[in-house]
Amino acid sequence: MAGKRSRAQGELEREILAILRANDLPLSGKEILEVFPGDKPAYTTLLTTLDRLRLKGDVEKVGAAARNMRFRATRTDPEHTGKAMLDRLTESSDRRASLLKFAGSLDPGDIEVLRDALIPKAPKADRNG
Amino acid sequence: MIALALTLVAYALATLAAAPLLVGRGRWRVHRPGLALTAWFAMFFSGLFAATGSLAAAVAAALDQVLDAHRDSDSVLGLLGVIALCWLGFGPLGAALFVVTERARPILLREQETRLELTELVHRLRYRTERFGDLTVGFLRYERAFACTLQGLDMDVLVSSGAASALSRAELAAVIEHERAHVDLRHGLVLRLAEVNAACLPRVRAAAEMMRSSALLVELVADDAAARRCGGAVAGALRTLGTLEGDESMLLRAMRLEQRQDAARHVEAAR
Repeated sequence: MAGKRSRAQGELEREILAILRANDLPLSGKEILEVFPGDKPAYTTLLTTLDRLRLKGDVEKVGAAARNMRFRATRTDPEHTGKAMLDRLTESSDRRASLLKFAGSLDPGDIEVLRDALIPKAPKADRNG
Repeated sequence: MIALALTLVAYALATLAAAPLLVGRGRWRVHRPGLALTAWFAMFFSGLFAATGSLAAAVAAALDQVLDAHRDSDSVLGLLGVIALCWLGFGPLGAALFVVTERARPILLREQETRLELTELVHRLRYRTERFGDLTVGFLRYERAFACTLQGLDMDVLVSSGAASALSRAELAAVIEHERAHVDLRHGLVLRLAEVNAACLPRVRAAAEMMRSSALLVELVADDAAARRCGGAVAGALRTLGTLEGDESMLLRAMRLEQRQDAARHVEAAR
């Protein structure tokens, strides 16, 4: 039920900011509610919180008409950006020389070499039965 | 002198052709990675020295000829001939140095970029720092299993929260020992050298093979070094993280260490 759960101060703001930061495109109030995880806040509570975030400078309005009003986060989350950078680094294959990783630094050719050396091949079936 | 120059150039060409055949294939590399890596680099450096030596011997032989021809005269032509030969001889050496510098530049720039990115990541995502012996380990908030090392950071090893929470204390120590082996054995330098070599010789199979093989061999050498200190915990860590990340190469590395432990136990039991 909408707005049933009471949240700690600032928790609703953090949840809304997390949704906006996870989306590249601006979202309307209804769209934010649709993707809201767990208990959804009341629509009016959401709009009030968005307005508070706008006054703090964390969120900005996009679109002039009230019906098309959308919101987006003004700053990217440092942690979110950091994780995106780390995703890029862990998946990068052209940095093997500089980044010595415990996991994921071998290519399919290496896997084939390991498989050949470690897994005994099954003897071929006798064609004559 | 000419015979020496020809012998040296023949040796240099032979290393190019033979290295991929001798060291670039075969199951023995997986079981003796340290020996394979040493053999690769012994052939690489001896081939490089032979090529340089053959050039020097060829220049010396040509100088000898020119000096012989003009030994009894004070000819200016003779002197000019000597200078021209020196330039001709060392021209290719200069050109080779220029190519190496140009090809190494993007690789070194990429490394610098990685270091800057990681430094920033340490500031953004670090939630804990811990000493493991003489190493400083930084823990990053990141759900994927990840551990790495890069020289030039204020942390020796970085470990993600995903890896730290999935591993037991002994397995975490094993991962850190694996990274320590990379640092102590200068594996960054080994891979950089192989990468620059492949960039300088883009169509040479030996160079491409050396780069590919080095990446695998340094991991296996680091696994072995960590296993000597931490025993079965290395295979345990590889199995845990390989399962978590769905990475077959880690499961195969775990299998390799387990097979070695089994073989060692059989030898021990036979005694």
